[in-house]
Amino acid sequence: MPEQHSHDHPTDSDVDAYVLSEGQILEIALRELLLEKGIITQPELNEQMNITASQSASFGASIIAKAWKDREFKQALLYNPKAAITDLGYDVSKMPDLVIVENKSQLHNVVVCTLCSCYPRYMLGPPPEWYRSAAYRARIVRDPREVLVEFGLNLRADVKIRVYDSTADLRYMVMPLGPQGAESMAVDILETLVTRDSMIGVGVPKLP
Amino acid sequence: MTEAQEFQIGQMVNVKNVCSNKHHRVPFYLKGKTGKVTEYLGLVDNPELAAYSKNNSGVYPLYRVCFEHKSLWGGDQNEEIFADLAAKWLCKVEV
Repeated sequence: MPEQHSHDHPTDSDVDAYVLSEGQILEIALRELLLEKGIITQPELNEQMNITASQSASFGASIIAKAWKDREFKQALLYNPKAAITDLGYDVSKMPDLVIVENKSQLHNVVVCTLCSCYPRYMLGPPPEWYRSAAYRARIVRDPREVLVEFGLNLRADVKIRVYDSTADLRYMVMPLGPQGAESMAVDILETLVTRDSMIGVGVPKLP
Repeated sequence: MTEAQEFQIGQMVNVKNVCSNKHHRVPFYLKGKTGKVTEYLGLVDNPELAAYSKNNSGVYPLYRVCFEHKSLWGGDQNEEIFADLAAKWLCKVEV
């Protein structure tokens, strides 16, 4: 009855007026089908969402800090990351294969997935938006040094950059250079120095 | 596993310059380019089938290949790009 409709409505769109993208509609349709057909249950879905939401870069940081502290663990970790992390008592059986590449004084590693956005979520949590952006994915393999400068990382000219494009089934993360004297520092202090970006390779750890 | 190994560490390889509309996991910027095999990574599922949940259980030898930045883009930058590529997308460089 438009003629009786005399009050005003706000004209700005709000979150409720948000239009779903095609991908979001597809996700909802797929999720509802999987639930209706009993392929997954709502509790299983909730549990996986909780696991995903609770993953964060602090886990990766704790592993890197331990490696800085303990030379033997570091060698084991670089040799076979999943086995070394399992030996610490964590269940990583569902984690994709992981490779940890070590930064050296004249070698800096950085990780990308140019094809999509493969990322070691188990170690680093959900990827940052920029990691999934077309700009990062296209430019880090084309002009890595310039992109790192844009991240605020000015590497010396004699430091070679290696870009790891995770094109297949392996996930990559970086072991950044530890601070001087890391072996005599407490692991819980070292952990606070390891940033997410330093494990992707677009940053370096904080100073102690 | 070594019998599946078609390429040797240190060997130069070309990435096949072929288009595929399947989930083949070879970036376009590497197609037709030459790199050096640095590691054999074992057998993985063929992504072109795995993308459709057709598990063919590790029949696809995978290699890590190092590309010099200048061989991809020209210029004189010293950087290196590594990618993990399946044997079926690689071929020997004839010398």
